[in-house]
Amino acid sequence: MVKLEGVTKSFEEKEIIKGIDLDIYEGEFLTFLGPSGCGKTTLLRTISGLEAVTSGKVFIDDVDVTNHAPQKRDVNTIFQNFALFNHMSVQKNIEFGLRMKKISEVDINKRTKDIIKMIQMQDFKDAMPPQLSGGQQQRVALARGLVNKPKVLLLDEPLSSLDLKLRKKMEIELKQIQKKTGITFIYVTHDQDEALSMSDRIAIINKGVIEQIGNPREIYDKPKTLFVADFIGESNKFKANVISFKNNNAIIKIHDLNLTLTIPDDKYKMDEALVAILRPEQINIAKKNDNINTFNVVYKERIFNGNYTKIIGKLNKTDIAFIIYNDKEFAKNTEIKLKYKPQDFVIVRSK
Amino acid sequence: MNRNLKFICLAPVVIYALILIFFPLIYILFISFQTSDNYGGIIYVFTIYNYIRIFDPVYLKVFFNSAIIGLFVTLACLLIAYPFSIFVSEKKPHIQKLLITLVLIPFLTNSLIRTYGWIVLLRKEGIFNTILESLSIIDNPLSFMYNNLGIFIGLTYTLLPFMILPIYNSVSKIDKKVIEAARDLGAKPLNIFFKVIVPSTYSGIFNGCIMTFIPAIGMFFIADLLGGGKTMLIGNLIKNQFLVSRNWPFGSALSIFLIIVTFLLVRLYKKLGGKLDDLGGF
Repeated sequence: MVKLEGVTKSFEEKEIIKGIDLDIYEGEFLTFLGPSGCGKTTLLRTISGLEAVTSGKVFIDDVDVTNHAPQKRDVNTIFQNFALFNHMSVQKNIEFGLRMKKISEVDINKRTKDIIKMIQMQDFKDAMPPQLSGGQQQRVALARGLVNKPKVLLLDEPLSSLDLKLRKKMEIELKQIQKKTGITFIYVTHDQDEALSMSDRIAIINKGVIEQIGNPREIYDKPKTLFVADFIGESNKFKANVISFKNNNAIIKIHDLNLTLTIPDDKYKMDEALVAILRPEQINIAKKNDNINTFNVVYKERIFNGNYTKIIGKLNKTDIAFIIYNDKEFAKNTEIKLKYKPQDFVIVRSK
Repeated sequence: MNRNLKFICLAPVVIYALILIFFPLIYILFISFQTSDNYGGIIYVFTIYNYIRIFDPVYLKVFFNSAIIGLFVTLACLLIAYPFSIFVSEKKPHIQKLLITLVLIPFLTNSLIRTYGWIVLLRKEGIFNTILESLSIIDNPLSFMYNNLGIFIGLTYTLLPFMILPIYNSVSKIDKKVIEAARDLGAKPLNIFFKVIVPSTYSGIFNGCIMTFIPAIGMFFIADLLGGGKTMLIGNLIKNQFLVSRNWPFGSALSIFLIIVTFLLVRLYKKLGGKLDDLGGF
């Protein structure tokens, strides 16, 4: 549906987007996830046309739109602070795009009415945006884009100005609306929870390049770079080195655990520094008679988190986090024996 | 802040407003209902004659002329100030500050003196005519002043900052994202301007128009100096009542009438759904 070919974008000599190739499929919910300043919003704006690309090509539905003004692209954007027209009623806001396209009055009325019903704002159609709550404004902004039935809807951190509870509710609503309308959504956020819970695919963006793209499960379970592992969820990191090669496999050693693992060779070099990653929930407290794949940490602190408790322990000089689901207390400096499964490790390069 | 301190802090403003604005206004309201004698004095006999006299055709003509000149001046200021404000608001913040400061710099000089400056520019042997003649664009000097054109030029020049400031204020407040949203929704530049930008700045436009129109019909020295005293504006009329005809009660009635007109304009604007948030003083 949307295809980016070698897209770059520079502002005053500074390259914000460094050559991105991307295929976005019809009807999918794709998220650009990354820290602020990584270029994700700029990338979105090159698709809407609000930002011209420095080089590369943008295709929408197989048409090269690289040089098309935003008015001529069949996409709509939902802006971070909604950007509603405060001098127009809810209904007039929603109609705006249709009126610009010179659609028949009957059609305008029908489509506007339908969408107002869908977002359940019938009672507020004559209200002015400043009179509405944040959640209502959000829905109007969404309707103003959706009513045009764009091929792609671009959402630029649309939930970031809402409070947590409302945000959770809107996440579900957004996902449902996307399914119902079948419109391709491209969503920009720096919030990994939002990305994981809504997206069909996530593109992790860092310093103007896509670090990894895949479905949320892949991204979480099989991060390909240290950045992705760090950015999504929490990671325990263990230093590792390549110690030898055997039948297209690399043998690596995790020194702190005195463990060797055999991994498929990804053109590693001898002695190359790697990082072995374990998620906190992949580490458990070992039983007394567990002897293999265990290690000891010294208890440091606990962080109560509602339905689980995170425990931080020290292994040599590294903090190790793991999760327990009970109220078990530990005295300071107690040794805790932990166990892991070697197959849970994900190995990435250290930079 | 405790109450006493609050009171002490507010006191100078309150005293200032009472002595220099409120009491004089009450006094003007009071004498506008009194009778004048033939020697410039006030006879304390209640009458509404002063207000009836306003509707004498002689004075109605003054109002009509004032309104026409006021409207032209306001329109000219609006047409200059609006594009200028948009131009300024698109510059970088420090350039914006500089440009707005430049707009304010003429206030450092007394406006009477600046009006004399215009005489140097506009008169028959003035700079404009000299330049136009030396470039052979005209053969005979043009009459830029001692007519309504002179009043128009003088008032437009003097009042332009009063139009620019409120309009710039509301134009610069427009969220750039809202304009992007309009582009994104398929609006072409003209539609963006008339359907999004202009409606979001109605309060600034109205504020600027009021701040321009009222002084335009009330300023007397520009009509005197650049109009050659041929056209009388409300301001000249009021001035004459106080300083020439020495009829204070009638002058007061005219002043009160002007205040009422201003007030009604603001009311009208409010009724039309306008917001007064950047009307400041009103």
